[in-house]
Amino acid sequence: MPFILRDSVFSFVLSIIGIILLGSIPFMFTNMSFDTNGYLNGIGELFKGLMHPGEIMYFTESGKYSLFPSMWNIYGYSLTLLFSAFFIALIAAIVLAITIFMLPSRLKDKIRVFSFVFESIPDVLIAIGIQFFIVWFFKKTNILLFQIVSLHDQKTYAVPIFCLTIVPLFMILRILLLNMEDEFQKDYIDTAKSKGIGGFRILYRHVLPNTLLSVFHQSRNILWFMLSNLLMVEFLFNVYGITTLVRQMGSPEIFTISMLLLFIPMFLFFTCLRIFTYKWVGQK
Amino acid sequence: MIKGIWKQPFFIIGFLFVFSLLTFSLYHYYVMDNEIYENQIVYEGITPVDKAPFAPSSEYWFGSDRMGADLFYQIISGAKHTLGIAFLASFLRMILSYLGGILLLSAGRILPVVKGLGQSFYYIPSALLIALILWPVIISDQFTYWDKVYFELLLIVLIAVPNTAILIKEEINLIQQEEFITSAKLMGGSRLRILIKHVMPHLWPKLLLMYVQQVIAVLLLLAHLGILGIFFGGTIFREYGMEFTIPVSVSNEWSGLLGGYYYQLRLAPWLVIFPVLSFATVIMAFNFMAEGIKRASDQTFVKKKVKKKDFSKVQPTAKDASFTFINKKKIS
Repeated sequence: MPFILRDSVFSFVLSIIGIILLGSIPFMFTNMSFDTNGYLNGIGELFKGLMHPGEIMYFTESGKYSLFPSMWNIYGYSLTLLFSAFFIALIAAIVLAITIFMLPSRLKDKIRVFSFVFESIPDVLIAIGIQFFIVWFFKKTNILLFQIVSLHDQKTYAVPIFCLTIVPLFMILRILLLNMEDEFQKDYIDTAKSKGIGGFRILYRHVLPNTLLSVFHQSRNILWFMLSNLLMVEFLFNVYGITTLVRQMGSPEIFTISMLLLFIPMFLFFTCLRIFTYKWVGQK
Repeated sequence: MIKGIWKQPFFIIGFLFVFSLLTFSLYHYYVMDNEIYENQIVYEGITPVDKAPFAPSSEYWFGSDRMGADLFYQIISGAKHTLGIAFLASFLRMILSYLGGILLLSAGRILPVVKGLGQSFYYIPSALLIALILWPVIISDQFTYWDKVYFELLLIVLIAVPNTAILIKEEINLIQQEEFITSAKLMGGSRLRILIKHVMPHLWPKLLLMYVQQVIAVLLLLAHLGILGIFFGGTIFREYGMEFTIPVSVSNEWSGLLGGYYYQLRLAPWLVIFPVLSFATVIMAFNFMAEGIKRASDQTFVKKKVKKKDFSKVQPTAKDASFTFINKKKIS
């Protein structure tokens, strides 16, 4: 336990330094040549700016505003999209995995063999496909299924979350399917069967928790993928979220501060998962 | 291992698809002179009946854009650029990461620091970072077309190097824990020799798999950048009608097509759907290849086919007598 805490604090500090270093890269390329001095100065400037977050401004057509009180709203919105999509994907993947495992084995094997195909659908295709479908449906039947494009003060949740869910859903589903198969080969399953425990009960009481561990191990990669998805979804559906803010302002300060704000809840989430798995199975 | 790949149907399917796409693209370039059919108005006799953009039909397989240029040939012509960039960028990524991984092997105490700093890449969407750095460069007129291309390539390569280097280093470490490495060390093999002679044969399949995965990652990144309005092929403006100019990608590179046509989703959806679909199919082909490589490398360690002796053709021959006396045998 103390090891985990020490290690977490260590990587927390280093990740923050890393994000600041990455955030000041734009200072490096003033004339497309490496400007090391400019980079070092830029880091200093950025750090000073981060120390006084109240003074950072952002610009809209109507004028200049202080970033901070209005930032929380945008930030909360993006975070809601990201994490609700993750949890919906997790739950949906678990349900789907169990359903697939209850199927007759010939069908199950086929799905397992081709499960990697699902993953190759790029997020851009999903977002554009959904937009196209809604427009097409509207033209045919004159029913607008969802508000596609969100206006500045109006928040849409359903479609962006749906788009964000699909890619991680398939990623988690694939991990679950592959690992469940491995898990089923193990001895304790035979013991459980010989004791007369039903197939479904074995699946969700014994196999599922063990395979969820490997999902937790991969959760950093999955969330990283979702961040890119978030960027696309916010652009394509005109959602005014945190990446839109960064994109429109284009200033290193706002970039760094937004990334730090996104980093903190994600990091806390991973650390909680780590502590949780440690308590559960004793793995570091 | 490398031979085993060619027995994997998944790998062959993916490879054939990518290979034929590239061949067709080069054929289009060298034999058909890179010509893209353009026609803004369709006449029937002398009366105009239809005006570009045309919807997909038997004549225009993927439809056409507002200039009347055939989208199918645009995509074919762009394939060589997009795939070329993806191959080149991931190749450079792998080389740099491999060197970095070897450097990290002897990092010692700095290693946790490097790893911690590398983690920060996992909290930043890479397309956003690249876009942020590239925008001022793309907008300015000071730089030539090739300057911009090199710069973007550099960024696309560098952004993945730290984490891939750490990954490769961990793979090498895994191999170094094997017993034969210990015995090679005991025999007095130098580090370089152990690396080349004993580690590399086991590392190749993993590097190949990583390479294919990097190609997929680069393709996705290109699609994202294209949507955000950063085209690899450079952007020019063409006159449309009398008063409008619209941005057009110079090289028909796919991310350029995607980004350039994105705003016409409501008017001419096929212009957006087909470039995205071509990205999707190519990515799927590479995923097939990756799956084939994975299966091939799983198999080499599991079983080598033991040749069964074929007894079926050996006929048991009956002898005349069921037994012979030993004493008689001795005499003869």
